[in-house]
Amino acid sequence: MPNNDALPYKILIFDDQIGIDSWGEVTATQIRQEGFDVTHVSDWTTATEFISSRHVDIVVVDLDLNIRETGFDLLKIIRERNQALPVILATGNETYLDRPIAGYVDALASGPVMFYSKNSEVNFTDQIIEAANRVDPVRRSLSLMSEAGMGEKEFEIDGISYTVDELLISSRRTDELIRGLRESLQALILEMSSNAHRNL
Amino acid sequence: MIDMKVSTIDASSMSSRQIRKALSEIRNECNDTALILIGHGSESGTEFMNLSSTQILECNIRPAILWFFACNCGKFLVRDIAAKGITTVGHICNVIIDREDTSAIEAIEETLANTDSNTSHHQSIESTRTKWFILASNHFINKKFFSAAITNQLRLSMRYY
Repeated sequence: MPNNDALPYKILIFDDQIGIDSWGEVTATQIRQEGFDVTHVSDWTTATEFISSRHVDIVVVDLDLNIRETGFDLLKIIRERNQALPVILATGNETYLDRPIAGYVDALASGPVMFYSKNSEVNFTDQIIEAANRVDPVRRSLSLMSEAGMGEKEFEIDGISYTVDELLISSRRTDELIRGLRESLQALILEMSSNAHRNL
Repeated sequence: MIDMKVSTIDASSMSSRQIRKALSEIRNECNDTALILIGHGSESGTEFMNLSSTQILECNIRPAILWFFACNCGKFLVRDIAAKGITTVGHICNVIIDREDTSAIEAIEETLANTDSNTSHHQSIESTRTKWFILASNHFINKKFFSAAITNQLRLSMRYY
């Protein structure tokens, strides 16, 4: 479970509303209590800089940012670099909630995306836990290595050297490699857990 | 009890000619010898460093165990060489090499070196698989998930004939 992890999952909330009563701040406090490491930012520049320079496991972005850009624009920027990062698109704006599903197909097809209505009675912490279950452990490991200053560390694959930072950038080749490693990690977890059961 | 002598050749940056020369030089040390070759395979799985099974066998190497630590060699190349009576090991996927962490290679060297006349070659190779499982589990416990995944992939992708 994410909350038992020695390195808590890092969550970025980008919501333009500020103040202790704002949805972003209240939500940040709520999920921090569950052991997540949460940063709430309220402007576009800080959000994009954070995403490009820091390790983040889950992004929560308000669709309606009251600027020219929307949450969909941030999603596009995220997907240019990482197609596997779970993103929760949140909104309290009825205009977005009333839009037909056709308006969201590109977002849904881009990678793990969840929608959340701020007016919903669904517990947001449950949504975060669901998103945490979608975090790719191999990419997460690479991302943490990069943040720890190991971005230039090289791995050799069939005569070609890849740095950690290069492996993190989505391409057909790197995505295929990471998919293989993810399957290998899942197989390891299954076998370790099966051995542990046998030894009980 | 005679332990096996293990030789490792890192052919990653060698030319085909240099590899043939290196193989020819060790060809006489055969019966109780294991040879680990590190390098690149090919997408088709039929070559190691652009050398086919025929070209490798032409170097007259006769180790007891020949291990290709390279991408895809477990698909076809190992079968062709094993057909000539050499126990041959390879991998059926991309082998990801971390030059700063030699523990995976050391695990092969250690288990093969401890092979004696009472241990079959296949048992010895299986011991490496077990060692890699322990190594991958330890990486996992220490939250080194990328290293755990690489090591377990090596273990699962290993094929021998």
